[in-house]
Amino acid sequence: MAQVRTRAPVRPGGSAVELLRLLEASRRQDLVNRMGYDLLYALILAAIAFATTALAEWVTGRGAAPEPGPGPLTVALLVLAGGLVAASARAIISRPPLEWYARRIDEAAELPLTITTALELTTATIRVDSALVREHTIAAALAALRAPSSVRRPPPRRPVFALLWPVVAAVGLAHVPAVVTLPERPSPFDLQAFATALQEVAGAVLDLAESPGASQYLQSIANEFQVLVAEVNESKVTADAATERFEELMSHVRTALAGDAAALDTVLDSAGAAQSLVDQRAQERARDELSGHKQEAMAQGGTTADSPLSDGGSEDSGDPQDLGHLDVDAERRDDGTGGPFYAENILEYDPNESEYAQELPEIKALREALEHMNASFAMPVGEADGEEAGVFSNDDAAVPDGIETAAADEEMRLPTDTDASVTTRVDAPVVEDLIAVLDGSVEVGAWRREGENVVGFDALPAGYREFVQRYFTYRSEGPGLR
Amino acid sequence: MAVDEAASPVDLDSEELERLMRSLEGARAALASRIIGQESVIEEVLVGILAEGHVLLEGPPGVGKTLLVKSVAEVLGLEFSRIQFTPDLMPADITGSTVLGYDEAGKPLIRFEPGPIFAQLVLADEVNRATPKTQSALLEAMQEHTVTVASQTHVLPDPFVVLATQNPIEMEGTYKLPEAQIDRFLLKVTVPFPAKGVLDQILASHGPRLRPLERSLDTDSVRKLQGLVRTVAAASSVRSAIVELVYATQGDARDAGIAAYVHHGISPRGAQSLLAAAKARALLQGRLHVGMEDVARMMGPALRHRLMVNYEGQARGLTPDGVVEQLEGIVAKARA
Repeated sequence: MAQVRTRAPVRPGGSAVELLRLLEASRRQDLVNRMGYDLLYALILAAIAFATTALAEWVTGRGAAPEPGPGPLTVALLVLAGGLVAASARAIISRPPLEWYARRIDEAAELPLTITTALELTTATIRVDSALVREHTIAAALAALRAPSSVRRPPPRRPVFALLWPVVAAVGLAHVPAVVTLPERPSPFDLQAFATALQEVAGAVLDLAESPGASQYLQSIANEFQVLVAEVNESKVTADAATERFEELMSHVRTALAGDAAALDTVLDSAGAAQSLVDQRAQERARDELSGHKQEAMAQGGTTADSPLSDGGSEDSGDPQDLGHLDVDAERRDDGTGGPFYAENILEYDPNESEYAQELPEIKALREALEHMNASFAMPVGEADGEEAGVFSNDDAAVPDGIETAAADEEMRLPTDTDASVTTRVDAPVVEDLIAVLDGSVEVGAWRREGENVVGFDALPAGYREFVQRYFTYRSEGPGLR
Repeated sequence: MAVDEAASPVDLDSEELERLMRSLEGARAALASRIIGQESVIEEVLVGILAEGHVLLEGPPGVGKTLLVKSVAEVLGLEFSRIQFTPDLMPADITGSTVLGYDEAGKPLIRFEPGPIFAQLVLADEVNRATPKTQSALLEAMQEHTVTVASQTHVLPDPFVVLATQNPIEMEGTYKLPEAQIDRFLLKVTVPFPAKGVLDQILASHGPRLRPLERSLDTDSVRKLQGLVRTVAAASSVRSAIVELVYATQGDARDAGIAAYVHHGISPRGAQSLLAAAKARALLQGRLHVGMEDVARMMGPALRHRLMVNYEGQARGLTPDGVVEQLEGIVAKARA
């Protein structure tokens, strides 16, 4: 058998190095191409997502109120971010070996495994005894690689999958709350939320109109509010028309309040006046306690300071942990009639007295409702700036500052995950506690109007749930503040 | 004629490679000028020779099988011998026998008289007409390139190629080649009936006498080319594709759709034959590396005689060529 012995020895030559260099360049070019394709796909998808989201919002905004969700711009940016992540991930993770590029180039150029074989000869994947065969094959591969760039550049692999990558990445990002928190944006066309808030405001206006000394004008406004509530509930008016009428009625309310009682203006203009009074009295109470029970008992008329009922109040008043009752009892101690926060005294208030008028729960309820209303509908379309907004954003503002102070003094414990997940119903605290602690909040007004001792947690508006969770214990823990 | 096993190594450089390639292309062109319209058959025969294999030509009478073999021997410059197989042909008529003779001194002696098998290119014409006993006389020669007569082994010349022909139509007075012998053939080339246009060209070119063909190669060149075929590089993907092909015809094949109709699948020797044929074909194409297209091109000739369709396959009208067609899907998948 004849043997083929070549004159040229088998050794790695410059041509093999050149082959590897060209293939590496092809791989870099391919990575750039693929990232470019991925980004292009992501851009297209982002545009589609923006258009579809905007269209869906435009369509649904005319009918039923949709759930608050991310806006078109947010969705588009999310998809684009997904595309960026996908492109980077594919570039890092999916980095095919040189053999893959050799095969792809062979296929693209319709070469019979020329570059593939040359690469295997170069990398000693296969061995041949003939240097002639080796060099001849590598030379053929180099000739193909030096051909026009269209041959050296393999086409994108599985463009369908490349198209899906940004979507998958975007969905993945959207489902990782720790990474991305979608800002929930209240929709101006959300009639449901509008009706709920309108109901609250109308109730507050009605309470105000039914209070002693209210004018007929205010009563007529309250009636108009009821009519508007009914029309909104029956979807007889559009959102724009309802909003316009609401603004008009509110201007009438302000006019009526300004005309009926000058004290009301003081309340509306100085929202923190009542709270200042609460704080002042709490401080006074603290000073009283520090001065000693005996001295206090003597001032009250000879009762020993050791008696827990020496101040004539309830047992709760002797519990320094219960600040809500503390305020009530302090009011009762100071003026002998109880304070304006005390519910039993509300009917005895003279509405013409400025101090009482300032502390009217209905007035505070109206103020809180207005703040809540403004917070819910203040943000225009498409201006989600990344901060939490909407019904959740002003919950803290809806809570009287005095409660926050009292709660902080009591080492307020935030609800744990177990508390939030297990409890689906929140038992209302004792009515007196609610009245004493949350006298000015519209939430308490709503609870009271329910007329029940137990209010279903799900029945509460979303903003109230967080409120209740933050400041009230569940029935198993006993009534009162946290 | 004995062949010197210790033949001097063949030196080969790029210039000589180019010359051999041109000569090979000239040989193919010369054969195509005589055997009109059978380019694929010519290519397959040359592949068989370059791959140091034997070729079984099958086709109806009168399509140029014998002429092709004779022309190949003429073009390649190989020592040619023709054996017309008949039912009364005996093995000794092929291999040769010992005869009583005299040496130069007039002293009687028994010497071996080589038969017609001792040639570089042997035409076994109508090989299926001989009895199995005679057919089996070819086994050792084809496989071992040796002939043993009277306990003496004689080496056949190098290169040694058997080109056998058989007629698939006439079954009367023929003996089907045993599977073991068929497996010795590297390729089974089907010589098709020429198309109308080709037949018209044949008639137009028919003259009173055949013009002699110019010899393009010689024995030494053929040896070098055969040695070069062995060194042709085959990428790992090519080998993997062939492995898949083989396993697709086995009983435990993953693709049971094909194996279900195969009684006897491709043997490892069949896989080797396919790769060798692909290498030779790549060289014929002017390449020193195998492409998947070479595998696809040589699948039919290299595998069709190694596949046995079972009864179920026969009932469905499946032929070995049909099985090969289905196997082409595996190669196409490997190419993608």
